Amino acid sequence: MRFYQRIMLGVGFVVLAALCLGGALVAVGVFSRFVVVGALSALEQSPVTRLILLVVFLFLLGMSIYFPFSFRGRAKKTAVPLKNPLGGVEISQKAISEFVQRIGKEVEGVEDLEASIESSDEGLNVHLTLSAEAKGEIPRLIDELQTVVKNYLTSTIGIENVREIKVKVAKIL
Amino acid sequence: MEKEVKYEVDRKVTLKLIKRVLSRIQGVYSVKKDLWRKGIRMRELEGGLGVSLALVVEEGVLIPQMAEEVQKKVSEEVERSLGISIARVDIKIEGMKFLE
Repeated sequence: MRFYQRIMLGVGFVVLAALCLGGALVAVGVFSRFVVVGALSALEQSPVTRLILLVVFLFLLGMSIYFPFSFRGRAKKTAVPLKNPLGGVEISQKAISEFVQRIGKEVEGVEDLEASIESSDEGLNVHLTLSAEAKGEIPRLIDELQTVVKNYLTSTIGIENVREIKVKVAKIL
Repeated sequence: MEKEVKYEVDRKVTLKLIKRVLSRIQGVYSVKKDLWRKGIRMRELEGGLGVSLALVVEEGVLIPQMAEEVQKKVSEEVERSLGISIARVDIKIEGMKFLE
């Protein structure tokens, strides 16, 4: 999710929470609904506050329309196509990440592993961040991890174009 | 006089048949549904019915072979049982089930 989307989502949730809290307080009788009506009527007296209210509600309306479509579009892009003559076959990046994490952890010396996948026209880029055991030889471990992950991606998943597998050792245990 | 046979097959019947075929294929764990997409979608295409499947597969399965098997069996079974020709079967692997 991009930064501006996070901001918009955060603002949306704050406004929604405030509305829900206000509604709940009115419902349990902490304050009368006439207080809310009175406050809104008072706010409507000034053209500036009316304009602000209009902007806030238009913003919320816009968000409620924009967000479902933006997430829908995002979901479509996060897949890697595989070659198949009988129809399209693709695998989601999330599934590949889960798979790579699972396989990578089986390499001796790898304690914790996070995987992220980037797919482009040139091929698949895999970024691995791991915690390794201090007793293991790190270059050997990285080499083995890259080989295991690459073999798995090509043979089990069927991705022919694995461009690079970057490994970052974040922690030595 | 040649007898013309016309019939219609309800979408639910086709869906049920596809689900049954998928449940028999080794390596297919489940059909994945979410808020925006149905796990099995069907649309009319020029050459027949287009089927799109969102699947969760089991750990260790060879995906290219499994995908081909799914495509073949879904096409064969729908064509044989219901007489509906299948133009294509698209598959999206949405997740994997790790068996502990």
